[in-house]
Amino acid sequence: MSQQSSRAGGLFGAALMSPIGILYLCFLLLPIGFFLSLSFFTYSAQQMYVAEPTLDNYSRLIFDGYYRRIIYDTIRVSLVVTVITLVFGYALAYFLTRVKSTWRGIMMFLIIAPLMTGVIVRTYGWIVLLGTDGLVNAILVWIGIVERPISMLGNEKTVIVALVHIMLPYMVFPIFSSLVAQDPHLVPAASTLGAKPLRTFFEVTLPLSRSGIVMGSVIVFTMTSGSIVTVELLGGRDMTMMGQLIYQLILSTFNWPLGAAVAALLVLCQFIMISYYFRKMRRAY
Amino acid sequence: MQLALTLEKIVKRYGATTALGPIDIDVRQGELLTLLGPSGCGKTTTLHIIAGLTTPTEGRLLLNGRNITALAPPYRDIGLVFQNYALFPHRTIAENVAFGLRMRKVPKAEITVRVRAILNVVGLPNVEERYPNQLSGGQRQRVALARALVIEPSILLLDEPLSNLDALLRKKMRLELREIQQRLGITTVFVTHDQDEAFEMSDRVILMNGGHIEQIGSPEALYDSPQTRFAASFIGEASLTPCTIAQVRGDDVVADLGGGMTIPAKAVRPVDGVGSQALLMARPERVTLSEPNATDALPMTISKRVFQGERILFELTAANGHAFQCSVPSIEKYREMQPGLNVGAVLHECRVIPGA
Repeated sequence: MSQQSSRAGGLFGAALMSPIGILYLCFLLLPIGFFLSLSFFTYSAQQMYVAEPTLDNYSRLIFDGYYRRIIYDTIRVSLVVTVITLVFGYALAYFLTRVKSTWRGIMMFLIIAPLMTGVIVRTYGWIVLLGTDGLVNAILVWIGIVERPISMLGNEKTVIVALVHIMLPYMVFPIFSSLVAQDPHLVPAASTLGAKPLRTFFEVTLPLSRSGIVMGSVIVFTMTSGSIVTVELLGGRDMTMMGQLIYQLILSTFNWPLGAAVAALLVLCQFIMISYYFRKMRRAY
Repeated sequence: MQLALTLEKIVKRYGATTALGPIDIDVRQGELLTLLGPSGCGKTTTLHIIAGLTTPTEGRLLLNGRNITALAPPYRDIGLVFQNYALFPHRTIAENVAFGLRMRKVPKAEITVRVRAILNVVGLPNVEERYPNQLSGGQRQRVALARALVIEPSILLLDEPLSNLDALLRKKMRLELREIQQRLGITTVFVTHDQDEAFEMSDRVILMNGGHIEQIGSPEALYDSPQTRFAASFIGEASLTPCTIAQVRGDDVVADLGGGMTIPAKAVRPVDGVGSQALLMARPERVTLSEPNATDALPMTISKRVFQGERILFELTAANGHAFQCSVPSIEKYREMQPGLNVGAVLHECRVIPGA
């Protein structure tokens, strides 16, 4: 009886899922599959690609120093951004659980606010702030810390700062929800058992917010490693990440097979990262 | 009598409102003292002040003669069991119980031995490797108790530990908790709103109301001689009737309820003399029913009948309009009695609360 009803439920569930499933299949999975399969085709300057199976695109990415450097930079910058965002985001999320609810609402709005502006506007905002004629330089010169405006654009640090800024809400909210979901009696319980505040944090609060940390980190890593505009506008000439490379290969150089290979590698990196994180998240309780 | 814990003139204020006190409480070595009262009476605040989770606005706390008022919870040597148990969900049962010992830097080998021993005391062997969410409510309750007991605290605090259990288990755990407490001889402060729990488990009960102490005494004293109207109405069932003192001989008095109705009673404390106002308390189970014209019996009419299974509750109305409750065993003689019947009622062991 119960088996029958569960099978009926399964069918019903499948029926409910089918519209979105078909949509995803036709407009997401198939195009991506098709595109990624291009990475095994041979580039042709005339026809863009010819259907001759090859691994050349991948070997080029791995053995050509230029591409290898970009892949390495992408992973490194994404990790750095994820870690910095995690530290700031955790502190902010923890602080949010401690403030009164009226302030909490205002603060949450402020945290989300950067997401309400478009990426171009926001990035130009950074340029206005950090440029040689920008606000920060004006203040630095006025206070007398520097004699003449310093160059703060066109380097990796600025890109990291800008990325941390925009990624922060994606980190804060998963962590915040994992913090407020905790039983409020656990901390006092630990303290009556003899744990000092810092010990309580590392023994109880932090491990119990693991799901939020994992969630936030996955989102931030994935989004950072695929970011284009921020890196393009703030990173200057020397800095290229995989997102830009794909963009260039697909839309400027028209080397779709190589672009597809970069995309495939990027997806692979993100997939490895996500599965590592989710394995970390699996828990016995 | 050796005192384990003393609360001296403890007051807790939130802004301009006084939530608690001033209260004075002495907890004796090895006793189980219950803080009983309705929600909002200050019993949990008192417990949290003892645990150090709430700072009192005024007053002093002495634990074994040591002033602990300013001490943070980790330094207090107190075991607290929360109402919802507050077990660490990410730790196994053994790890949960071991937590306090680890914080005290007890050697690993000793921890293992002591954790096993205490889990045996609370009747939960063989669950060490499980996680809290794999246990039933009753089992979690025992783990919480074990976790608080294993550190061998000077004093054990229980914050409504049974209220999340179903009725049957609750009754069983009452006796078991009491048994463990007596076996270990651990001084315990127990908070509850359930008077049955308070009666069955406590050496002494502190009845609290509106942030102050209403009465302190043994369960028997609280039931037999409530000192205030609140105590009389909160504890047990009682018919409370305003009366005038007609005669006084020592603590034996005669209460005049008007309409020629007089009832002999005992005063719970000295009355102000003949003619003073008081409250007469009659316990339903101390009322006996007989023929309407029996000697010493007061003529009354049954106005309501509630069948409760093992007992039958009658509401009796006297000629002067006063109503009394009467609880009798569910036997044939009483089963046939229906509303409208005239009976004679004898109110035994009534109490008079002067000035209430």
